[in-house]
Amino acid sequence: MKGQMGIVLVFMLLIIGGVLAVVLYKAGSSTEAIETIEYHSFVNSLENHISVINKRPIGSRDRFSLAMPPTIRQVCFSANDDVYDLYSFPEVEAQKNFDIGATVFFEPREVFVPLQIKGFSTINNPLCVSVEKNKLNLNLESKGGSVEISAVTEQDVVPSSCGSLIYKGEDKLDLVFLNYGYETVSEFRSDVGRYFDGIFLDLEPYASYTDAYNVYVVDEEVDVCSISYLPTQYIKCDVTQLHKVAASCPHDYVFLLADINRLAGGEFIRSSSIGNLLKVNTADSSMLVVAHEFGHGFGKLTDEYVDSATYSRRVDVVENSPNCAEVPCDKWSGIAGTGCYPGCSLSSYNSPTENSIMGYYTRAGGDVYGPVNEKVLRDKLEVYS
Amino acid sequence: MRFFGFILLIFLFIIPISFAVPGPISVLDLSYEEGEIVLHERVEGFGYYPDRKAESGDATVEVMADGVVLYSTSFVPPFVEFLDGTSGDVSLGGVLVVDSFALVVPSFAGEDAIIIAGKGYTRSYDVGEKGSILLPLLLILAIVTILIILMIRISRR
Repeated sequence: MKGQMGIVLVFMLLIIGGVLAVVLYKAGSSTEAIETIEYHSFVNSLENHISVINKRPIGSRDRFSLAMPPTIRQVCFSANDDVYDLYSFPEVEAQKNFDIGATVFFEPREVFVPLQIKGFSTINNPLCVSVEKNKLNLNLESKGGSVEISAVTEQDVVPSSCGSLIYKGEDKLDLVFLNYGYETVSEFRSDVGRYFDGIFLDLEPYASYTDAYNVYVVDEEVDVCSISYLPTQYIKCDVTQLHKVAASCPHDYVFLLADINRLAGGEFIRSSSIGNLLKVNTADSSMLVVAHEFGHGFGKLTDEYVDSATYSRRVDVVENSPNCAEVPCDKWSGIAGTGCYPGCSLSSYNSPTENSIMGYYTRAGGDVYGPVNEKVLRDKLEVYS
Repeated sequence: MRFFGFILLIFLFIIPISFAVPGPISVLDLSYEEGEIVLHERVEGFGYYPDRKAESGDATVEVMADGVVLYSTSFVPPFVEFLDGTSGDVSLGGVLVVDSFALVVPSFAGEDAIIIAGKGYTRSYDVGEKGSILLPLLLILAIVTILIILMIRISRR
């Protein structure tokens, strides 16, 4: 009997061990995947920053804080071989001999391959800059034909916490993501990637303007918001202080990502949009809620579902919206694929399509904006393309 | 005075070129009173402000210095906060009528007024530094000192 119990116990331990091994392996591979995305974002952003500063007049200087994968401790820049501080950084020397033509090196060296980025110079060769709180802080100065990279010193005034994830150039639409309630930075960054990819890279009309967006993150958790239950369940913030936090990054639109599962134990909390601020309940069962809120903020579109009880208090909001009209719906006459469908915020107004992202986005036909809303958004996106 | 105005105009042309660089900013805490936007508080900071390139509203904010407009932007004042959510197949929405909102604008050394305008109204707010009152006082003190010295010298003769 005892022998049989022993065999069962060993068998159970083997199963538990196997499950643990699989879970750990999966967790490890997902962390690696996030790090790889962050690494590629860093490479693209660095190249874009160098390209933009290079086009500016000689002497133009700018400061950047680039988001880095957590495993990278130091980044070394070595653009040429002539003046070389061999004794200070023997590891860089070894890597340069191994990866011929490489100019940017990472420590620890085994995690990411060195890069062959051109168009920059450094006063010290190599220039090695430590990664502080997952950020690499650099000064870039135009030298006419090349860009001089230097480390940000303590004397430099840097907006404390901004990290650049994707940089496509100046005059682009700057999106900043703020962290509210996440347990770890990697979970927050993972959600930033999920929403940005899901909305701005996969959904029309945003997907047609993939070069129009700069993406920034503030990893430090904001402490100026709370979950409000009156008059309804939503995320309430001290907006003045929240905008001050967002101002540490270039920001045309601010996305506050709230880990509601941690903050409110899975209770139903609404996402919302006011001005250029979007507060997102990341536990919402549909990612399209972000597209819906961005439609409010960026497109100044109103809801195409009817909520007379609340909208009757601000009828002017519906009157002035580009996607709600009274019969005969002159606002969108001539746009193909549109009609005059009853109900748009108020029952006395009409929508251009039967359903859309601005309507019931979880129902049939709710996964696209429709011709009128797309046109409104495209016209605005053109400004940043 | 003209020279000062000229310098400010030069700054005005430089602003669009350098807006991407962090600098002094003001977060304006705005609220509605009888349908008009009023400045409740101004919080100073350092960082960036939105370009609002794709936004053309009927409200404007101007940052002024000595009668010269240093920065101007138009915006759509948010009267409501849109609320939305899905729980399974159930969609819950609606709006909350808001009585305040915030706006980030650049801040300048020497700025002395912020002007907020909407449909049919304009409100001006004095945001000049208290130190600027010292300037005329110092000038008067200097003139009085010179006059006293001159009087002493004349009386000695």
